Amino acid sequence: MEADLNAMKDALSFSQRVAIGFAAGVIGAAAVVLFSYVLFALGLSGTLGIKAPIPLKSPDIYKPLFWGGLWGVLFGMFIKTAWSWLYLFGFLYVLAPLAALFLFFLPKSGAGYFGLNQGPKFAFYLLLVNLPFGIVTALAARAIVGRHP
Amino acid sequence: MNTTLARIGNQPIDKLHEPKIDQGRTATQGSDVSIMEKDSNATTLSQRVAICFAAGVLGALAVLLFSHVLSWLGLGAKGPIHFPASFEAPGIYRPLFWGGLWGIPFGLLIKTVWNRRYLFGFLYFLPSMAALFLFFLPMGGAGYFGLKAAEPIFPLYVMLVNLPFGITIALVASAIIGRKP
Repeated sequence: MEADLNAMKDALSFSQRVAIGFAAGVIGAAAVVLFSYVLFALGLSGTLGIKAPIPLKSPDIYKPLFWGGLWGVLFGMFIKTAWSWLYLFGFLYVLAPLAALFLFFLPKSGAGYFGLNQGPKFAFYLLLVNLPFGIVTALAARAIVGRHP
Repeated sequence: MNTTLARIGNQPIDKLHEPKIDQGRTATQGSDVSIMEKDSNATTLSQRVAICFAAGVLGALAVLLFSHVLSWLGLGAKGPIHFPASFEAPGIYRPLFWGGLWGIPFGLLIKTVWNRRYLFGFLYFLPSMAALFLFFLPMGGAGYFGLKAAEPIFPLYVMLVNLPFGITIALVASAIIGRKP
């Protein structure tokens, strides 16, 4: 009986969680874009040698939002497993796209591993600016999913 | 034990096994289960919007693929929008993201139109076409329906290219949502 009730609590299917993860990831990426403006306004970006925040103009704005959604898909796949410690998982989840950025995309674009060809400050800025991604994705997903994943 | 006996003892014999009482209880329990089942399977508005946002992205992807199919078949029209749409970054992200945005109103309405969602989905490319022909193209200087910078067949061709958008959203959203919206 308890098992039946637990099964009924599984309100969402896997594909629903993935779709919600995608939307939540886009919101997480939007938070990163906004945070880049906050860092810029606070003067931290300038201190770290960054001249401009993430552009809000088309078509540049769509790329980070879409990639945020794709990373959200992966988040959605694990959301049920990580539900009990969702916010910790979310906070640490930024490490996944950062790892891809530091170890694949930046070296591929010629900036070297961790973007260190641009200097250590650049790597720190990337870490800092992306920090809200996972936690905002987790918060958005939690708000959409509700009590039971 | 004594209490039970006492209560039974206070009841008239014919009332002890009155079928109406049992039926009533069964009916109530059935109703509870039905409500629980309904609630456990039903999605909330925000869930439907999120699902349809993702479905909208896939709808836009279907449009991009369809534009390549039409191009491969030799169908095309010159105008302010270049077809087939490029799959290269950063151009690819814009239509996909806008597809997702158009999926949001679909998600707001999907519960209302659930019984005729495929018909609604099939027609759902029309609002985005209206926005394109009556707002975005004139704003970009191409005039209403893009006719200032295109051959007369262009609006029809754009509508043909965008035809899979709404029905793909409906199919994907229906597959993700399941039986109950």
